Amino acid sequence: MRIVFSLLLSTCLFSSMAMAHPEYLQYFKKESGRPINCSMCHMDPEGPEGIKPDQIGGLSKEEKKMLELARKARPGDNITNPILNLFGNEILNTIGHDKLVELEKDPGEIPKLLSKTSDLDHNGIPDYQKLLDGTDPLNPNDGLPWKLFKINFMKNWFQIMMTVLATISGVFGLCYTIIWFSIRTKKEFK
Amino acid sequence: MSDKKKGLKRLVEFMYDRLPMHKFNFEHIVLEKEVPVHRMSWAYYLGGLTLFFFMVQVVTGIFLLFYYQPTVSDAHASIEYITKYVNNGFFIRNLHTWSSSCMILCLVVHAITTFAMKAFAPPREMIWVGGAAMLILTFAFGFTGYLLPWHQIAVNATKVMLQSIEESGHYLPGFLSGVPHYMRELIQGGSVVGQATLSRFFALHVVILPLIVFGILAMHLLSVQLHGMSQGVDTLPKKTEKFFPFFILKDLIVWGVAFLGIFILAVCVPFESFYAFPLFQAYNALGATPEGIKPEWYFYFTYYPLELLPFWLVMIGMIVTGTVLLLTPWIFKNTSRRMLTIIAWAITAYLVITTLFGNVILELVKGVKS
Amino acid sequence: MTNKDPNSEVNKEKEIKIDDERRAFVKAACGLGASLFLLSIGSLEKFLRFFSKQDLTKEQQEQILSEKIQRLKQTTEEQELQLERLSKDYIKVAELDSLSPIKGIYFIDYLMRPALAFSDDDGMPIVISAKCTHLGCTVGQNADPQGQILCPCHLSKFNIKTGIPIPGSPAKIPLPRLGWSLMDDKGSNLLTQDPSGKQVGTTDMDKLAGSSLYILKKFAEGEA
Repeated sequence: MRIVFSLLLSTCLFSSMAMAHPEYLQYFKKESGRPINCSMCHMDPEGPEGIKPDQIGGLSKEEKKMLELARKARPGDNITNPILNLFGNEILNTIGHDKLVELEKDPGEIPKLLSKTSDLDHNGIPDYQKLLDGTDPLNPNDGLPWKLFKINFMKNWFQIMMTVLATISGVFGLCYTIIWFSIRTKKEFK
Repeated sequence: MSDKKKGLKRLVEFMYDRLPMHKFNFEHIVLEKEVPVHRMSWAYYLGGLTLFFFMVQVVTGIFLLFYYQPTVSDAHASIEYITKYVNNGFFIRNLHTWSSSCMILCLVVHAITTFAMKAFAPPREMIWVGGAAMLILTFAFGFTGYLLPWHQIAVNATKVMLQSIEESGHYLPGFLSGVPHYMRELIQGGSVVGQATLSRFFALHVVILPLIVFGILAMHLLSVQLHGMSQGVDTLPKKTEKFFPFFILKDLIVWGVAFLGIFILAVCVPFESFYAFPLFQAYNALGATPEGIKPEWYFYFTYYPLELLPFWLVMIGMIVTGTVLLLTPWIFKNTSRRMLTIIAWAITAYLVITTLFGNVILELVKGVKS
Repeated sequence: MTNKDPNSEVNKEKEIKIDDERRAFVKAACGLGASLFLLSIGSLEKFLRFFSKQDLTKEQQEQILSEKIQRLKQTTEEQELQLERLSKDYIKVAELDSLSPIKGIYFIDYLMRPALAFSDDDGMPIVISAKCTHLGCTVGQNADPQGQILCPCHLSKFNIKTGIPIPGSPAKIPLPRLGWSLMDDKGSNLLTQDPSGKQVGTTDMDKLAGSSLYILKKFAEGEA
């Protein structure tokens, strides 16, 4: 029993690198120039195959039923595929399962079919853009640095302005503190 | 006078010249001290700037200590907790990360300019030695701190760098060949990078290294105050300015600008956005390694040469560099400033090329993308 | 002739000096005061709110707790693996029939390092370490048509049969081969191969059909 357990365990901990749709990964890796992985769309960074809790082999009975339903998903549905994350489900519900499989031959069409305004992590960069950039659509702190700089600068302009003014007045105050001290010491040491 | 007494006398004179405590008074340090004004005067602010970033590191590091948990099961989760749920946790963490890079950048430029200005000339040798020690300790800070988030790039990059230490055993004769393996296991605390490694790196990063650096820094600052700023150029500067208050006023302005810069960076640009997101996922000891594992940017000057050149050559280079760094005041005692400036430019060129273009060179030479 | 009161000159000088000092003090106080006020709106609140209690929603609390439980489970599983390797003399890797020449099966060896099991052309197991000999990354499990596996870190390629890195790879040392044993369902050793490749037992595939691949502690102790 322990042997079976450890075998299952080792297999579970060493899930397969073969993904359901490796063509998507290869395409967006090449397009973005960033080494992304399956967790862009899947729950597990090593993809859906394996027996970890977020992989096909580790699903409960109810989750398996959800998976079956998800394999019939059509555009506009509101289905949750248990092996996909929020972004993966967003793609599934926008494009539909059949179309998604069809697009294995032309993954570049996927961003074109996604909503231009959907921004699941609310960081100001649309999800389709994050897919093209090879950044995590569910992490507000992940994105192309220059884009994030512009968005965050505008978002926090008030605090930045307050801090700039505070620093200028603080440095001004400290400088005159030193000048005052300098005048006093000159007096003391005269 | 016997030889022993002569030796002792020379030692006392040496220490007296290097640490002139008789100058430790208000008049000398505050009222009389002057700073030369010449084309290299901008470099006098670099030490203070490094100190400023170090202070930011200490403060933000203390803040992070309130939430960070140094166990393999919770380290990554505690960092995620700080980033996602703690109020302004992302800002503090980002400030800590950006400040570490800025500190190392300023420190390296400070070392290079000090070298070029021959500020290590007698009686300032011990200031240089203390500074060189702090340079090495700062890299140790970077190395130990890099592991603490316990994500893919942290653990794998640490494994790779520790493996490099063990590699050197292949080039040592006889019984010495086992020494690097022993050293690696001593640093790791075991045969693999695991909990033992995380615990000791945490202790080093948070307690041991700061204590050592505070001690050396205190001596370094005291010595600088006692000796004053070095001349820096060959011709006697025609102009000087009072250290107090004018130099300090300008220093404060520089600190103010630096603070604003780092504040805006910390608010607007997540440091991790420069890297691929899989590198920051939780480390999985039994899973596949993601692509793009590299040390921090300030280690690229050794990382890319290790990728491109024979291991033994890079090892020798590093040993020689480390030795020369510590013994600079004696090795370059009679070297002219002009020559030192040329060497400083060469060092700068090497560092800039390996840091900024190392991956391009690697791709061209080996066809490997890193 | 105007009478000059010498004292008034001195007093004026004193006054100017006092004025300079006063002015500096006032400017300092105003600057610092304004700074503190603005900081409290700009960045001071960022520092102070850092220590305040986090307002987590119920969903967030549930997510944090379930992630913690999953992590603890993973740590437990890893430690169970360690315990198993301490207490057992042999550990099952896979059924012989389930091995493939293309896709290796990952497992953990006795030294808690990743390892791979493939099958050779004659159906015999190939068991090698999956820890790249260059700088320690875990090599991939998928063999290409030339029978080579790739390390994703620095792109070393290794022949799965010999473990030897292909010329031009950053790795120079072959992936170590691990000793293994094929046992039947009664636990009898049918065939054992040590890390050097020396075999003891039957190589008749008919007799080996249905057997299981195991790694043996005695080979790992030698390696350690």
